[in-house]
Amino acid sequence: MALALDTDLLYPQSELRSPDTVMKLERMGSFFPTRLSFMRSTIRRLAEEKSNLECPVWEMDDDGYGRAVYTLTYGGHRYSLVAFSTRITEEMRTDRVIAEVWDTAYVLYDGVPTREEIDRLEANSPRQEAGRFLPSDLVLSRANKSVRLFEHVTERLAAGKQPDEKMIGDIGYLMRTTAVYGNGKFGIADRSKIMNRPGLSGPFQAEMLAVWLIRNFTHDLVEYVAQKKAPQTAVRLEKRLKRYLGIGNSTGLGMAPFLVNHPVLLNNWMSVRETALARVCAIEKTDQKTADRLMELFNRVSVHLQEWNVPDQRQMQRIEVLRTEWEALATTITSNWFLQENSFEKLVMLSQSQSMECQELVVAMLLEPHGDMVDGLTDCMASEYEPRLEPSMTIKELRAAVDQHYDWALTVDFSKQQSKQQFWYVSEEKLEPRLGDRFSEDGAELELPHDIALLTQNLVADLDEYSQSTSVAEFLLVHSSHRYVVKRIQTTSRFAYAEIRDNLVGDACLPIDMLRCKLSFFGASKFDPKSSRWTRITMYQGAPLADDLHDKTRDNDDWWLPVMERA
Amino acid sequence: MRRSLNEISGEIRKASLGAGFPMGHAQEISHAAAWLISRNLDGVKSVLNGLRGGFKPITPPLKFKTSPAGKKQYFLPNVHAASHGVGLRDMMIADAGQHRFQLDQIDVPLLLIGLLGAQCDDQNYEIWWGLEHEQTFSLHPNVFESELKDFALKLETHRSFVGLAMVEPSLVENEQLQNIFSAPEGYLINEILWLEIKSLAAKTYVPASEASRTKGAGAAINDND
Repeated sequence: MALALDTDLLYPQSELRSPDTVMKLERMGSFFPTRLSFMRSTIRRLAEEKSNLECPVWEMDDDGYGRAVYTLTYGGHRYSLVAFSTRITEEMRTDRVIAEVWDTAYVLYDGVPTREEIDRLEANSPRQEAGRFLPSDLVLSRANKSVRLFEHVTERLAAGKQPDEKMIGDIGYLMRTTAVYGNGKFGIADRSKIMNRPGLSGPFQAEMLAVWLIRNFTHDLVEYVAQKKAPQTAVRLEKRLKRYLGIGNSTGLGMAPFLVNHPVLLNNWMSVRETALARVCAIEKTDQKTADRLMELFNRVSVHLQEWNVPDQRQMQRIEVLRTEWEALATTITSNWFLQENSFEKLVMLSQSQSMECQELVVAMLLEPHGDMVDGLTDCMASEYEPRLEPSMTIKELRAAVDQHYDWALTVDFSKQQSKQQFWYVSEEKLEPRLGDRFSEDGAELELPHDIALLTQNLVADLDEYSQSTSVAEFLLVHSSHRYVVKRIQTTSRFAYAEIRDNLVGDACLPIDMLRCKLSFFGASKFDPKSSRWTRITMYQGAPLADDLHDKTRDNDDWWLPVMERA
Repeated sequence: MRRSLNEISGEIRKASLGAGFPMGHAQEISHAAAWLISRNLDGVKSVLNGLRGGFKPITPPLKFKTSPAGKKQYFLPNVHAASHGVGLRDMMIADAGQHRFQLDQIDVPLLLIGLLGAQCDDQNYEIWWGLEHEQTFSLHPNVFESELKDFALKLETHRSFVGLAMVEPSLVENEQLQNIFSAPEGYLINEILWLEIKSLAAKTYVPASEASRTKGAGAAINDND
């Protein structure tokens, strides 16, 4: 795929950034959502199709507990979100994977469910991992309320008032999902069922559609409860506030192994992003309209950064540095500045002296006004490529591949304890992926093979014992434990951005960097790390509401780094 | 109970690890199981039978004899399908169809067929497989389920010879491939066998401890905010 992009003559492109620059944890952990992010693709399609959202089932008691069904046509297929709202006690409410009850549970259903199907889902969905599902069920999810905001909004609307804007700004969502499962989990449909369907062929598109529908449900639910509480006085939530209410999400270590386990997919996401940047940087001279648009976005970023406040000290310090750097850039950047030759490439160069967050924010901003030349690249973000071993390769060729693509792995000094301080494993507790300390915790013998640098070094040590002309097949007959890393090296050598070029078991490895990278591709913003191992985020903040899809006066693709609309 | 193919292959990969197989082999065994199951063959039972006894790698050097034409015939006695199938496959492809392998006493023929068959699909190979004193069998992406069953039965009692018939992508119409992985109602798996798979997979999980619990997502936070 990379070759196809590199040689696309329709759009000239400047040199791609090197994988040694891009595939570093520190940089990946500084990514921002872009217009290539999966949520943006979902919304563009919804808007393009002017999808009509209907709610044929709404069976709730006055406190908002019960069930609802939303249906829409998307890409020529009918889909339904089946939602269940359940009363739970405070002590049972936890965002952790090890939870067993949730405020709400959801299934994205293939088609429109019959009453019997809704009953089936009601018996299983609230149990999540303990339930069983069918191939008619495409996505399984659950969400907990942000209790203080949900109660606040309910009270205010019931009293005929709008909620406190600052509180909405500080929290940003009424509920947060704690898992969104797809691809065959617990009996739901394999991805192969939907991978060729319009609108769902891209990565995580079914999941993104489900989350947008869940957001819609949370808005309806809070208005419904308020209305039942005080039918005489209740008002509806102002649309501008509703738009600013996205869906929260708590994400932990489970996302990090995904990037390691799907190297070709990671490559495709990164390749598309880097190719898009290279196309934009190749523009020699932009027009006034684009320059003005970029200034508008530049100023929006300033406001967004002011609205992004988190308790985590490390992230807050980074945000403060970023604010300062952005202000400094503001002294230089004007519409006219963008009109000079090669201004986009110059801005990227200018940002190189700033923090990684600033550099990647510049990248994301520059892509924003160039949808016509970069949006089509999103068709290249999926991958059905199965890594495979090339047994006829010689040891000489394999060694050359290591030297060319894994030189970063060979420089790690594993004689130092801190270089292998951590290990990745799966806990028996609801199969939660976790990261342990190799020297103070049990379980290292069950380590997941995410120590790519160490595996590579061990391979090289054995390779060097063999004749250069020996085939990989012969080598692996003796050294079968190396098969995994040999296949990986052979595969990733063809995909420049497939491998994270850092030691993932060193004491300096911060999983939060991997989480942020993946979540930025989803389109998440307002990263709110709770430790180096998990984060809260907001999805679909500022995104169009269902009604907006039919509003011809709106630009439904303009919600990158949203700021709250003023009354 | 019906299960998705991703669910089955994921669990089998873990079960293979739990049985002591290296990751590279566990991945191939899970592909083989998926290949068999999607053809209505008993992939789970085959894998379980194959995993029994743990990982027993081929011990090189392989014995061989050379024909007057310079082609080698390797001997592989007491074939342990789960352990030897992957290496056998690698050697066949590396040799680019130049050599063949004599296989005696295959412990789980269906699993070996799955391991070689999955490769046929992945790379559109055709594998030539001859039985002593009998007709040859061709393993390719479009082979019928009934043919596979019959051939697996014969392998239980016959010595066989196997090699790559083609190393270039074949022109076989690959309709069956398109139907794979799309069972509308999932795949029915025997619950007793499934529990055995789960039990093996559980050997890869680290027991929970208070220390590990504090490091998971969501730890140390008020969830009622």
